[in-house]
Amino acid sequence: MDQNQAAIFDDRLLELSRHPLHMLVPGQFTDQLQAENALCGDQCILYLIREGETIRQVFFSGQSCTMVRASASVLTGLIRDYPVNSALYLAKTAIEFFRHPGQDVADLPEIFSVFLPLRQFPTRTKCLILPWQALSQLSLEGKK
Amino acid sequence: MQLESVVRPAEFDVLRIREDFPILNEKIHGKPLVYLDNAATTQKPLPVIDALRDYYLHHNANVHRAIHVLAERATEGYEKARQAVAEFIKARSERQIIFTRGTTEAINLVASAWGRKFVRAGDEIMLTEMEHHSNLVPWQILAQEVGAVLRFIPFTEEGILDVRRFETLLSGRTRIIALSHMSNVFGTINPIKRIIRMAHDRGIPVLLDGAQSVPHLPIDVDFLDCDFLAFSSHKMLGPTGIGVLYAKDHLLENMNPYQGGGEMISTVWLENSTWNEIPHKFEAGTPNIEAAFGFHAALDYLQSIGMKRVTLYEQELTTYALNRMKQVEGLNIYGDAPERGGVISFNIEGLHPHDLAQFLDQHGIAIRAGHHCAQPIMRKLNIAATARASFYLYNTFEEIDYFVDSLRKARVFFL
Repeated sequence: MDQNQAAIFDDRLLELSRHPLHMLVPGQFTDQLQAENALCGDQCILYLIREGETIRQVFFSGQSCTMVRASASVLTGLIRDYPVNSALYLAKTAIEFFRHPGQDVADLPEIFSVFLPLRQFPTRTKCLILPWQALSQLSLEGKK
Repeated sequence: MQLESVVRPAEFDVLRIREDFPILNEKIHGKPLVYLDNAATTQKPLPVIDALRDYYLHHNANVHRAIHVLAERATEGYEKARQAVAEFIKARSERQIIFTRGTTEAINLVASAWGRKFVRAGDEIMLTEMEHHSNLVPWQILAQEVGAVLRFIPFTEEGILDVRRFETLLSGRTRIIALSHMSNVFGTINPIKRIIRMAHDRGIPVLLDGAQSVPHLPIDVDFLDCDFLAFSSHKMLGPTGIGVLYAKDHLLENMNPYQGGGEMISTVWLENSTWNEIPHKFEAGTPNIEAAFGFHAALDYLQSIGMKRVTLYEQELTTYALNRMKQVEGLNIYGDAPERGGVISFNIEGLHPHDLAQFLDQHGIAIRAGHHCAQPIMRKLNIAATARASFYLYNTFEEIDYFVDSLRKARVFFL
């Protein structure tokens, strides 16, 4: 494998993309949230199963690239059994992390390190942000 | 295919041409740059770069105003650029050449200045399903404003316009037909001569979006008999920020100004104004003067090579690329028109175009990935995006070999 490719497409990232976690449309859900990338037309749809103020499960679907699938897999794995407020805080922190290459990764779970080499590519960070943008609409959109 | 059979260095010395483009010596991620994103914008030869520098070193002043040497030089250079454009597309007069910011502004100018005057509620504006957003959205805005109806000539599976359908769509309410000469997605060269003739038989004017065709084909507006032609400098070796609207005199004379301000007026009173002569009536404010100097240099450069030779070379490159790409497993090419230019949109099954573009970038290869400002085409093809390789006169057969080999590597890497 080319060294540059290896640096950008981390093995863990490729694995998450080839075998994404929670990529399906559940039979029932409480919230559906969506974000689109105007550059390429990709979309990420999140399906939340909530009990009150706690997110019990999250799934995703949509036409998407390696970056979106990996980022959505991380999201769906992380916010299971999260309080809504904590999930929203994580979404805000993650978006800032992707948008600001200089920002430390310390506040975020270790898995975010797979995305570090990609922050130098502003176009690809739009892909990474997509699932988190969808999640950040939760408080705005409420239940659907 | 044997390279010797297609390169023909005696006829088209691509290696000599490449020496004029310093950026082609750039290393990208440690690898030689292979620039295959020419449908988006082209690289600039030294004469263009020198013309921009020369303008600021020796001629910088505002045009059409002051009485001093620099202003005279700037004005002369700016108007000579207009003359060069007229000659390049074989327009009858430089009065028919309006400088704009680019193709998009040129089309907006027509939709606004011609459309608002001549299109009424219930009238029909005929477009095609394969338009770039720049030849779609301005007409949507006009239609919404005046209550007109948009009609669309469909395209077939091969990315070819259905001309028989076009004839049935024409009606007594069709006020204008606006279509791309060459598709920026399929590379299809549309049968515009036939469409223009059919339109003119019914007294309907035709606007051509020449953004992809004028840089690559010999153009003769008198022969085509188009009423409007829009194109950009930056897609034909010139600077960004300048483009052209060509139009027949009588259309320009009858149109209202597009923008108001300095330069476009004859006399101004507190309550009203009269307009300058064409083309100045449509050029409000200080124009992009240095870009006009650069654009002129780009036109001279292309003319020195000859547009017929450019076209022939690109056709050979495109045929070679299509043949080689079709051998890549899982690769689908969108568009299969017999008349086509050097734009190839494609996807590799299971591989997102953004991932492919990123992979190729790591190999020094620049392609485009996305919807190419043509979302309705993507929707009709039932895809979100494609990868796109597009060629120009400085690309080589060896670059295409490297590109195709890299496509195969991408498949292995991702799938």
